[in-house]
Amino acid sequence: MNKKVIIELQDIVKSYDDEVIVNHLNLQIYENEFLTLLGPSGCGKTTTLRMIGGFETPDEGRIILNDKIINDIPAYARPINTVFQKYALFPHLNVLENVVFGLKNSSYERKVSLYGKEKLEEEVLRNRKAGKKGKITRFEMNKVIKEKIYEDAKKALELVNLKGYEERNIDQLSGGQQQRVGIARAIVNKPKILLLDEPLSALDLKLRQNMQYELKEMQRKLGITFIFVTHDQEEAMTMSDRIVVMQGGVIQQLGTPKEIYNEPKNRFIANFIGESNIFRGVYVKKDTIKFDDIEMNCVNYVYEDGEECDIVIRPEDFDIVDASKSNLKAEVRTCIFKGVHYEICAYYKEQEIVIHSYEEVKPGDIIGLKVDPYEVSLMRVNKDE
Amino acid sequence: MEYEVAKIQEYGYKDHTKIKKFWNVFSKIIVALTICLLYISIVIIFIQSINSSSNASEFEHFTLKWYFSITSNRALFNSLINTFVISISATLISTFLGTLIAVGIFSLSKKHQKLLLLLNNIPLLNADIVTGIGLMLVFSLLIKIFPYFFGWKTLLLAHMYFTLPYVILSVLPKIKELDKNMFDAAIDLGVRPYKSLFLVIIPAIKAGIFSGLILAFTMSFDDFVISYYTTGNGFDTLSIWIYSSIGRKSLSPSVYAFSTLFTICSMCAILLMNLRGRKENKHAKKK
Amino acid sequence: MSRYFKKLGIPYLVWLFLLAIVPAIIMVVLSFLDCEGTDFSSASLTLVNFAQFGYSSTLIAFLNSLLYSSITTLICAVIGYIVAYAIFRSHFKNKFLILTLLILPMWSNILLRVNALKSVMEPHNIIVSLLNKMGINILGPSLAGTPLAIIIGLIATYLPFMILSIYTALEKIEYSLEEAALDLGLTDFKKFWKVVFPLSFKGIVTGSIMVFLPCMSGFAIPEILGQGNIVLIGNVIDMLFRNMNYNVGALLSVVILALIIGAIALVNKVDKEGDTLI
Repeated sequence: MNKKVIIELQDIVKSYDDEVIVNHLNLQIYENEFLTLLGPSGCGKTTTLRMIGGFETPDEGRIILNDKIINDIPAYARPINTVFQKYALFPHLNVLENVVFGLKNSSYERKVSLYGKEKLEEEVLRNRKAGKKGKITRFEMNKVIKEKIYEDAKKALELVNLKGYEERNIDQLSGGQQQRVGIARAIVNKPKILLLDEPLSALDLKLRQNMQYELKEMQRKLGITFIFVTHDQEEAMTMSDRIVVMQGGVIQQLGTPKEIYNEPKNRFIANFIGESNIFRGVYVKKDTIKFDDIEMNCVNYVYEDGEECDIVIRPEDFDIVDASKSNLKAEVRTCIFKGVHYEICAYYKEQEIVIHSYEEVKPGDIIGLKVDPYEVSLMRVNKDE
Repeated sequence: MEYEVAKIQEYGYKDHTKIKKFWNVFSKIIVALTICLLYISIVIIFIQSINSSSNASEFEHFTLKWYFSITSNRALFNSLINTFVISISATLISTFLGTLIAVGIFSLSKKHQKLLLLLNNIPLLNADIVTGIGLMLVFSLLIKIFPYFFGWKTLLLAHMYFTLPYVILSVLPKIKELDKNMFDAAIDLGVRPYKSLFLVIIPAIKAGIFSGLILAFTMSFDDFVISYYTTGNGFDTLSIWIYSSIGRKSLSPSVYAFSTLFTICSMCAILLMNLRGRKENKHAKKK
Repeated sequence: MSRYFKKLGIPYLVWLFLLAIVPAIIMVVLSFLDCEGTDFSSASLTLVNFAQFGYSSTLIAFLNSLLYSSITTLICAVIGYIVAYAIFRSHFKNKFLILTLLILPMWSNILLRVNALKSVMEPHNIIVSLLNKMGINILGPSLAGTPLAIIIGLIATYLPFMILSIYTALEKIEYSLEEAALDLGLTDFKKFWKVVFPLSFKGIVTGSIMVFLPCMSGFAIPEILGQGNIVLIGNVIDMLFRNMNYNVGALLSVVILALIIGAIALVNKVDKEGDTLI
């Protein structure tokens, strides 16, 4: 499938007070995709988002929207809207006034181009009393535009399930409802790109999960690009088409949720996304690796023979077998019931191993561990670490 | 690949950079004029303080003699001492009591809190002349019980009356910001309530207390009208002395010297505090 | 916490009652009496004090006060907003320092400052004399004693209050709201009128009250700068009390008090938390 790039970041650098926040970042974002910038706080994800929104200007590099460099276009002129972390709703306006705010107050030219000049003029003529002739005035146009704006705002509120809340004050709404108003206020402008800056972080767990599905659904319906920022890896996994994992102002890995979970590129990602066991080992030859004299099989990795590498095995990928049936023997320290599974903490020599299993084992037991070759992932050892 | 640079007009907006530049210049001019307006009298006071002639409209030659005669001008020096004694004691008492009252107000129910804060606005917003006359009327009712009441006692009470609201309004928001559990934690650890108040709450709101103290001192030190009505014969504050001197057209330039010294001292204090604040900020950042 | 310290608020209630409410009652009572000072022994009930409202001098003083304080408040609001906004928007790291520098003149005695201001409003003043020494021959403006002098004096004295309360209100506006406005397509100019200005309006209201009330009732500034040519209501009240005419003085004070109660009600309505007051 040939996807069209809507926005591209080229070699972006941004620093505050000599501290580099975003370091030579390159990223292409496609039309109609749900992209998540994921990373711990201070990794540069929010700054990246703010540069796309126009709230910060990059020190170096270019931001290209639909083949045009928009570095110097101020935030208000960009066809990009944002859902803010703490909603940023206007306290002096009610729900409906908040939603119409952007459309109502943007420039006349923009409004006309948004609704189409011909369509508006047609409507003006249709509304005219019979016999009235003459040029269409700005006043008549504005009247039609205003009607359309309120119509759109009501539709947007319906889309976020807030029908009937139009006249409410902002402080009469719950956090979840405020968030919905924030979303309606942004999407009513029909942006090309919607930026979401940790919009769910202030909501409680149940509400957050519901909103995740709703957002995904909304993105599908509206057919616009969503760029979502979060530090919650589960949230990223649930919603995204692609995930950008950032750390230290640099993209650590870019890929689909599956790729990132199954084939983490380095220790940081392996630890940040889900739980992992990481063993320092050696790539012996094709499909064979060795960890402390224990040979294991893997598939699909081509490294140099004898190269040092990190072996990543997810806790749920271990199978517990009788100690005699495996070379990897570990002594169980604790076994905790977690609802769906048991979380077992076992030790092989000094190495801690976390295992998720449906069977209960007893502390002190010696267990054997097996892994299917295709569930073993390898990472190159970063010499700098 | 080469890309075009986008123009703002393509997105339906006009270029506003020129208006912005105009505003930048315009607002700077207004700020500069404002500073001139606020400081012109300070500059005049300074020039008069180094003018050898006591004629306020004639500059003779440079001198520092007025600076040395601040202490030898008995009436001025007495009024200065009075002013400092009244302002400092009123400020300290108001700061102490105001903090406790703010804690008390915070502890009241919402309804009572509102009522008390409404009353608290009266000294703050009431016209000085009405406050001064009102206090004078109440004090003069008491004169039959305390014959020698008017003087420093009435002045101190009056200054406490109009400085307390400033302290309370500076402290109260800080108490509201506090973590409610902090006090309970102290109680839980077995510290008695009033001891916890001084060990836990007061240190946590000291910024508010300090700004209340500065405000109270400013108001008290600069007050004229209320002092004018509530003082007794012979107990002049600086303002009252200046007012009567202006009336008699006999203002001694020593008062200009004092005023200049006071301005310089407060300027130094502000800069010093500022430098210290910056250092602390840097420390905090490093951590 | 609320369990232990309730009693700390009670004495203050008594204090305010004695020093804020009782004086008001005394004033109201005095305005219906005819007596010597506060000596109630020879007092008799009368409405004769109200005849004061019939004197054109009183009415003119009232009108003057209203006019001068309205003009001052208006000018202060405009200049104050521009200055507060310029400081608020400036890239200075240390805005607190700039604000303190604006308040610093307030630490010099108000009468001394007004007197100094008066001296430069005369044709022969110290600056002119200094310039003459340098060989520049000019005369100062002859403003002292004119309405303009009083208005300039009032502005120079009370403008810092306006700047401070507007600045406080501006600072309370969350920056994310401004970003949201920009994000939604508002130019900086529209953002100001649709978001920043409405949200800082209560700063203007409190600032206006803090300028209007002292302008309305003050007597020292008009006395010094007006040189007796212009009489405001504060001067009338001051004169009455100095002449021991407590009854009429109290009556006029009650009128001022009524105005102030209106102002307090307004503050309470606009600014429920009282957070822009100081």
